[in-house]
Amino acid sequence: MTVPPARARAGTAAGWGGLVVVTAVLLAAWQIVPSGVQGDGSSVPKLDATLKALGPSGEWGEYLKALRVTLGEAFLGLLIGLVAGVVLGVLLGESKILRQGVYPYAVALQALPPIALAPIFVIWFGFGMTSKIGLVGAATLFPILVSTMAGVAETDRNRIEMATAFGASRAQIRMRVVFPGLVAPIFSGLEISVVLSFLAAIAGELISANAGVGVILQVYQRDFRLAEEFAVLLILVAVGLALASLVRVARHFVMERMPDE
Amino acid sequence: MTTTEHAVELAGLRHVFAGRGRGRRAVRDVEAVANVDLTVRPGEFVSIVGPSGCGKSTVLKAIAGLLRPTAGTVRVWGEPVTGPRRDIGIALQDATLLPWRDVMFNCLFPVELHGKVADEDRERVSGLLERAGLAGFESRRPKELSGGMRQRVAICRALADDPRLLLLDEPFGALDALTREQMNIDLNRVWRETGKTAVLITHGIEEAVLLSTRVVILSERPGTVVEVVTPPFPRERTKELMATPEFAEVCGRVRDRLFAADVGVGG
Repeated sequence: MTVPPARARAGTAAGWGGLVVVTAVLLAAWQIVPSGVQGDGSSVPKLDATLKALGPSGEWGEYLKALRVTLGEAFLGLLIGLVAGVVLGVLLGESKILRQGVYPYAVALQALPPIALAPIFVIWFGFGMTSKIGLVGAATLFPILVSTMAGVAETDRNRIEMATAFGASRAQIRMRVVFPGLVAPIFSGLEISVVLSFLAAIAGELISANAGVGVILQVYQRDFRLAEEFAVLLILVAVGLALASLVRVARHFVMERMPDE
Repeated sequence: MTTTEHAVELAGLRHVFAGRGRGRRAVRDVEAVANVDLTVRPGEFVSIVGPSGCGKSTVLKAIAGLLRPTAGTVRVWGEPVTGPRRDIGIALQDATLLPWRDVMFNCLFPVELHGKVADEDRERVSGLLERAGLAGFESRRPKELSGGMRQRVAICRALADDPRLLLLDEPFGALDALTREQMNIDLNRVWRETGKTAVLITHGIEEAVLLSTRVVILSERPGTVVEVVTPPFPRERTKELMATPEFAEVCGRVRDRLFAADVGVGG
């Protein structure tokens, strides 16, 4: 629904003042410390070098090409994780037998870090985007599955009793009471999964790929072009934050404009 | 249909909630209702009052077809109750509105369950909302409403499919005293204007006396009917009525019987 009150209050309490001060200190340290330590700034690029790599003279063609690949993998994989997570979550939420039988496997799968799965996915699906999409799907499925399942299992008993009292059939309760109530939990899962999707795509690319953010990060590392490497990391931060807020905006939009049936 | 058609007819109603488990962690059987006989005539407003846990809600759920009693018969409009009926509208202590629906669509929920929503259904709901002081709130979501407004919506929803019998389980239990009084006056008006038969579960003595044509007093668990009090007032009930000595006298009678019921079983 809305932002939990505790988080909203924490955000207000922190305010912007502290953030501005800390950011200023960090930026100053970034400029001064590398030159103090190594003089040439070879292992930590100075702030101005990083900014230059982020500026108009930076390798934006390379950055954007890589981002397009990575975001494409993350998006398609997330789509798979979302659909599979919702379908499985509903099934496991509805059926106790399925829950007992399948849920432990889902937990076991979740215990595997996506990066450990990457080599196998590359063998199965090749060096291209497909293996990364599969990896993202596997990584993003779980949070959505869990929150959907919990949403089904924890449907307000009062709502079900109310609908029953008005003579609703089991199918009507499912379609009109249980499923519409899943939108909020699905979005909660999606908020976690969207971050994971990015992480899994890059993890996969770092293991083996022919394009993407993970690949250019390795290229810059190999060529010792740390200013560009840091620039890409900063872009990743921005994209990650943008994706997370995109999901929040989408959630708000859907919850407010959900059709009244 | 029987010749003398009562709205509700309870005969020898008994309900035992089955226990669970064994040994020290066992939950014993609980007899909620021992033996309740009660008839509600068409157009009546009957309140059921009693100490906490005396099985009031169990009686209501049996009428609503939400539970099958252990023994006894439940008839609504002469027919044995086998499950929820379309001609019963119900409102519970928790308004239980669906948060993703606006006020209008929350009210139309029971109508939808039984078929397509027609224009006349919308008009009826609009009329109900207007009478409940909710005109202009049709497209608001529940979270935008106060607790009292939500309960009004829940009562409009109970009436939306034009039921013949209205069942209310402490619908104002969670509201503050002032709001509650106003809601009672409004409910009395809606009841008079719609001509419905109503059964209300409450532990508010004033509320029961103010709203009802008859007040049924149940004993402590397991519940049986200890007395039926008939408030001698016209159908239109007002705030002024509550200030009269007659009103206080009837409330006192109900209170005495309630306490007697309470101590009688405990001692």
